[in-house]
Amino acid sequence: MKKLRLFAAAVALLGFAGWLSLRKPHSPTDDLPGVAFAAFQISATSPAAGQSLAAAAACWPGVRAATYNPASDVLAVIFTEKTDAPILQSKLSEQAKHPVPLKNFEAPDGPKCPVPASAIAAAPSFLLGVGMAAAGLWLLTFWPVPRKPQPLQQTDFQKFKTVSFTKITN
Amino acid sequence: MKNLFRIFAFCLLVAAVFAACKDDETEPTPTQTLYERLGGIEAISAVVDKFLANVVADPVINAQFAATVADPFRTQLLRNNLIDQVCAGAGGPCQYKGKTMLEAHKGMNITEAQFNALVGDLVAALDFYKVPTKEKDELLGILGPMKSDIVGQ
Repeated sequence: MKKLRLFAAAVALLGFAGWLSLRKPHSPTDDLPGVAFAAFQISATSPAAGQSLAAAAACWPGVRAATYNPASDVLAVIFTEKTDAPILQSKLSEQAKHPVPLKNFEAPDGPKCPVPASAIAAAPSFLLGVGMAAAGLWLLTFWPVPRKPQPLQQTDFQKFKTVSFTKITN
Repeated sequence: MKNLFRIFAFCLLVAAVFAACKDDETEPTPTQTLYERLGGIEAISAVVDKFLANVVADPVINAQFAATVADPFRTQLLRNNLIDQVCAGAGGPCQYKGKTMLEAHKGMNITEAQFNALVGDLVAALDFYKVPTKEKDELLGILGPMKSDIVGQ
């Protein structure tokens, strides 16, 4: 039990220390709704047609911003979780009266981090969770362990009673 | 005792005169920060979203953001970092939590043309939301000095 208590305390301390060193201060930006990008190769008949398509897309629910660039013929949309890329694609195809494919960008060459960015960002929360769990375990080690029920033993009074009774009967 | 009382009364009188003569107009009036003049976090996030849409559609620089566009987590991170940077630079309550500009652009070999295209996209976003010239210039003045940490790194 002592070893478990020490181990739990050490893990809790390490977890909390790690969390304190890695955690980032809260910012009002953290409360903003999440967004995602989608880019479409719209093959607009004219720059004006592309611009009007972007203006229409900007008014759709869940769309935060939409921009059409005639130089690339790309319509870029930033949207919240109220919509998604397939919905936007079908709406754009309907509006443009022809299929609008998603634009796939060629990723630039170069070294990439093997650890996903989301895993790195989740590290402080993971350490906090580990610290909390270890702290809980440490507290549990102070909980009184229930003992096995002992067989009933004759008390001194019972002994006295037995002895006195034997004496009287004799 | 009498003298002490007189001195005390004189001091009180002097203090009262000074308090009465205090010129309230010389106190600095609280001026609005650029963050407040821009319209707070909602307005800044709208401008940043439009700016990012401009960037993704821009053929000069959108290849640099290919990996970011493909990963929703990185998209969110880039967007929040940009909002934090503008918000904090404008005197808002945000804290920039990302890398320094030098760290973030190291090895990317950003050219002057790419940097100018990025600034053009930002100006277009500010113009889209009709941000007044004074606020626009102030904001570009805050972001401008970062150029040396971005270009040619």
